[in-house]
Amino acid sequence: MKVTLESSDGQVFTVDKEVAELSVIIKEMLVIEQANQDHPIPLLNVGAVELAKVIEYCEHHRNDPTIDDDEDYDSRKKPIEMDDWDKQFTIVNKEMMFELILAANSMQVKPLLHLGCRYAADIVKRMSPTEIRDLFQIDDDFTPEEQDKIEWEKQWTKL
Amino acid sequence: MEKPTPISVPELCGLIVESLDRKDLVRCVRVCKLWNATFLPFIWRSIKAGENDWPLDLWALEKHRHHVQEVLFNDLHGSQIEILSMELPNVLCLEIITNNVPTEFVEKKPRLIQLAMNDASPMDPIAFWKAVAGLQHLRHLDFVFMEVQKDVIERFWDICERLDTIRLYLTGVAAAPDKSKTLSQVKTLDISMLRGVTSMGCLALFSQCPNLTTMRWNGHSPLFPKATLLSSTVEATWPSLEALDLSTISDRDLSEILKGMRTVKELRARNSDFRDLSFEALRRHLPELQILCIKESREKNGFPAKVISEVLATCTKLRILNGTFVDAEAFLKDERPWVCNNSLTTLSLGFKFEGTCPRNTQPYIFERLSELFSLESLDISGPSHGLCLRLPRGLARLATLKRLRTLNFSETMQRIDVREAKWMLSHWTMLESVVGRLSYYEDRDEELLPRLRVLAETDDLEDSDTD
Repeated sequence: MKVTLESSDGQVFTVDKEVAELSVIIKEMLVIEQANQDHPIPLLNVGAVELAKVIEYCEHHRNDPTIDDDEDYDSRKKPIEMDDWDKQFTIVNKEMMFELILAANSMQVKPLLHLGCRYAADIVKRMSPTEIRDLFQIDDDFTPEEQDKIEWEKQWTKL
Repeated sequence: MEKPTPISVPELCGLIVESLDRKDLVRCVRVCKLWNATFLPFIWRSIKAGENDWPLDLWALEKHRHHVQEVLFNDLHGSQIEILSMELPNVLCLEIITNNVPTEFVEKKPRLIQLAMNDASPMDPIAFWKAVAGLQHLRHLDFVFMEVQKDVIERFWDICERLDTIRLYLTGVAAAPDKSKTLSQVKTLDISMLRGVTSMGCLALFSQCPNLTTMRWNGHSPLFPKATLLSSTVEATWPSLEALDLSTISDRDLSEILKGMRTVKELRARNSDFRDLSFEALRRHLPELQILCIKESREKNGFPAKVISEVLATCTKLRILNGTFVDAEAFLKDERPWVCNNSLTTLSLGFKFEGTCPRNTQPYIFERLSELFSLESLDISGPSHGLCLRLPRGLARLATLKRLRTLNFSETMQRIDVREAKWMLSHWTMLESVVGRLSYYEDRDEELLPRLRVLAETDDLEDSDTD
């Protein structure tokens, strides 16, 4: 069975139902609106470019065992497996990846969301505050006093 | 307004933080005010204070105390005791291993859900227990080396009435709860070496928890007052029971309990007789079974291969299988496919090769093990002539175990060399620990073990370079 999805900028995508159902939100919508499937499902927060990429991800992972609840993810230490395809998939610029994380969040595509957040964490890991500021184009808005306080606290908290 | 980034969405931030360690977080709070506000709570979420973790600055803790959700106070001395009385309004989970616990300690933690105390005597027990009784959210009590004296025992059992988890380890209680008391909220009761109550009394205590789902009882031998539990009693007393963890129990007693249970999801039987009767009783539960640990069973001759084969071919939800060892030949006779390939994360099972040439049998065993794609921990320790990991007959087949994190082959004779060590590191990228002697020769081992570690470290470095 096919399902049609509409991006925020009005593009329509037709995908297999089982692919679309990787999104918890769509899955729930399909249960509620069983009788009314002629209309495309509107995704107000997701642009066409991101939606295409999310669908690409879902197509590849359509046969993965489903993880029903967050518990499996919450067992913190459990690493999320990344296959070669996933690695290729994440080779995009960080702006695109951030858009994808937000899209995955609003559609509740859990595995993609976790993949994206790990990607974001990897960017930040091992970077100095200055490097982070440069990368994210953030201004250092601390006053010298605040800066001192943080440094001082850092020593005392053995952090 | 600027476009949102994942950092500015709180629930996403929580996910990102999961992959960061404390050092990363400390760098993040120094980026800018927004990042500071975002990441600071995660630094203070869980803290440790005590001998090895001092100095934790009181001023800093005071300032950030509302972020603290989890604390471990370990071995505080002198003026450090003061820290116990600090107000931590949002702490949910607290462990304390130190003496002279002041009463204010409890009053200043109003949202506490979980309280663990290890050898931690309160200064004024009566006032202390009165304060604990006032903790409205408390659901989980974990006591190790504690004494609950006569003058507070009644209050103690009153508190237990609203808990869902009670763990008492090497703890003394002045008396068992009153027979009329029903601990109806208790789902998990975990009792090891309880002092002050007889076996019969312990059994009575368990019986006072009608909604028990998890029963853990590690007592002195004999555990059960002989033949007191019949399947009908079990069924009537604990209709929701689904996890068992018992020690020194006889085959007959265990089988009676299993017969009376509606579902068995977890079964651990330490130093017990898990034999034909128990297995027959467990059989109808196999489709729901997730954990089976019978490693320390008294079965000296290893485990009947048919039991293990049956479990692997029937339990679709099995996550952990911990057996002793099986006769390889008998084990291979059962050719049914294993159904737990996607769920099994931990397998502990030795193989014994008797009256058969290991060269002929081993490849089949490796073949079957290679199908366990979800495996994170593999323990094949056991009989000295166990599985031989040497390439290419053994190890190479296990390349499919991509999630493997620990490998244990202690007590088996291996002749693992640098080549195998390298293979492990390149094929099992998540590997964290290897336990066992790598080769016959001790010297060689000393040379290889650090090598394995060194290789692992360089691997890590290379990773960080490519990031």
